[in-house]
Amino acid sequence: MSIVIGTGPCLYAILYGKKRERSREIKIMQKNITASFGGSNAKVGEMLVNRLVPNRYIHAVGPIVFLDHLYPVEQKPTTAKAPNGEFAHPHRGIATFSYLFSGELEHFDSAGHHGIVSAGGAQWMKAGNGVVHDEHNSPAFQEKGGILHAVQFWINLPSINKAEKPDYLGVHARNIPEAELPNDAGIMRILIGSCGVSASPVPTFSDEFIYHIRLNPKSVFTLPTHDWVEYAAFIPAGEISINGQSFANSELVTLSQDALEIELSNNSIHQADLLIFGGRPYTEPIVAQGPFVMNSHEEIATAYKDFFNGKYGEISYQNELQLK
Amino acid sequence: MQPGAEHMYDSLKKYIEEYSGETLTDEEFEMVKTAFTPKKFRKKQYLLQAGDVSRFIAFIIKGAVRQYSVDDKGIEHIIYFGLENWWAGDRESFTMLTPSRYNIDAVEDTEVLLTTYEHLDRLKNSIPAISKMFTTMDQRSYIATQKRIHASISLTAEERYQELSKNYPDLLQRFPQNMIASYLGISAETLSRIRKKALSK
Repeated sequence: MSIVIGTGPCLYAILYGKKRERSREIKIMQKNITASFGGSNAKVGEMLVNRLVPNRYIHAVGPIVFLDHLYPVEQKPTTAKAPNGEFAHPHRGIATFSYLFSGELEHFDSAGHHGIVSAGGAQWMKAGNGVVHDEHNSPAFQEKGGILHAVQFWINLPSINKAEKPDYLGVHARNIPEAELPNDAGIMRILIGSCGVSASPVPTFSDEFIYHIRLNPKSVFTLPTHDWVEYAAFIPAGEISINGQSFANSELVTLSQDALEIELSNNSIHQADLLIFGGRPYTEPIVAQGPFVMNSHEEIATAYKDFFNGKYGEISYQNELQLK
Repeated sequence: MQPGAEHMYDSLKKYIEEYSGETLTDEEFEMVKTAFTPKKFRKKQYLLQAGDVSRFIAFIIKGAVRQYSVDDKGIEHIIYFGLENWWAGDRESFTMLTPSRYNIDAVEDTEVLLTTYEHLDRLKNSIPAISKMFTTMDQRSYIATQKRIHASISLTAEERYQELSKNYPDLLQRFPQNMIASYLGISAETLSRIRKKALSK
């Protein structure tokens, strides 16, 4: 794993994907939009989410093989419930990354990690060769209530890193580097990867990156790109125009892989958010089933067997008791 | 192998061949036998309890099972019945390895063949018939689920009962009235009234 300073894919290229009916090409010196996708609703535990990756057209963007958008939902204040493992589940072969627009999540895992991260912060967990984790509204957030609004990514690990031990990093909002965009266009938060001299503390494996861009009203920002990186953009709520086409409300957009620029513009009078993410294409075989992403079917079968043989360990909720 | 286990495997073989439209070779049949383990459950014994991860799915050779959740008031909600040549298991928990919200128990003394995700995945990747069987099963299961959702949101209780008695008359013979009522999402009293009305026609 490596943290590369100063060579972030912000200087590189954007997106890729297969053509579909809704795609509309723009013949200018900008990346062509190859696909847009509205996702499909899925239930995760009690939460309604929009599953954006994988979909029929896009299996991965760089090493990113999964994206769920947890719709902004009001959580009514309630008596905090101690975690009882009802949402605990294993992972192997990936790193999970949860980023919060709003709310507060608590993390436990069987490797003994514990963390609480709130709005603007993120939790990264490298499952490596296997871990059981549980992520839920923090006790304080359950009591206070409010809007939970978040995204979860899965980053596919290179085979060599799939065999490594689990790891965890809770990144508070203050520890995520922020860069000002030129001409007061807004800010860029570097959640994963690097851009210029700013680098996220989250370890990377395939030059993966996730940037949160917040554009000021009536502002434009142009992102230069490279052709060896796959890019996608996700627009969580408000409307943003990408190379002249408008996208909004939990839409995913992919662009062609040529090294041109991406023009992002906010034509409204409110701030508007988007995430740009991707990385180096993943070249090893991808076999994904249930909570596992491996390189072969045999490894998937083993991943299931190992779960029932207790190889992933168990979560000790001891930290929870100490908090009270 | 337990005595009498051979006929259990023959039922499964017949099922695989019917659902896949292919014939299993002797070698493939041996692999299937290795992947499935015979097990007997007495009436009221649990195949799966809520809160546990579904380690197995069961192919039912003989007997009857039900899958249900229990709400905060202790009321049971039956979402699935299983009889001979049907499967029992919480597919979500079995795949995602999350704790199940369902119980599965035997309503009659039941004989099953159990398999794990690991074994099933190996079979799917080495025996084309198994893979085809799952495609057929998934299609039928999708259609049945769609019909059940449609019935539950758009048919009256009486229509739901009539549809069940037309499509699955066996279920009415094998499961007690209170369970049928739960499956249809109505009270035992309502079911009794509907049945009386049906008989008087």
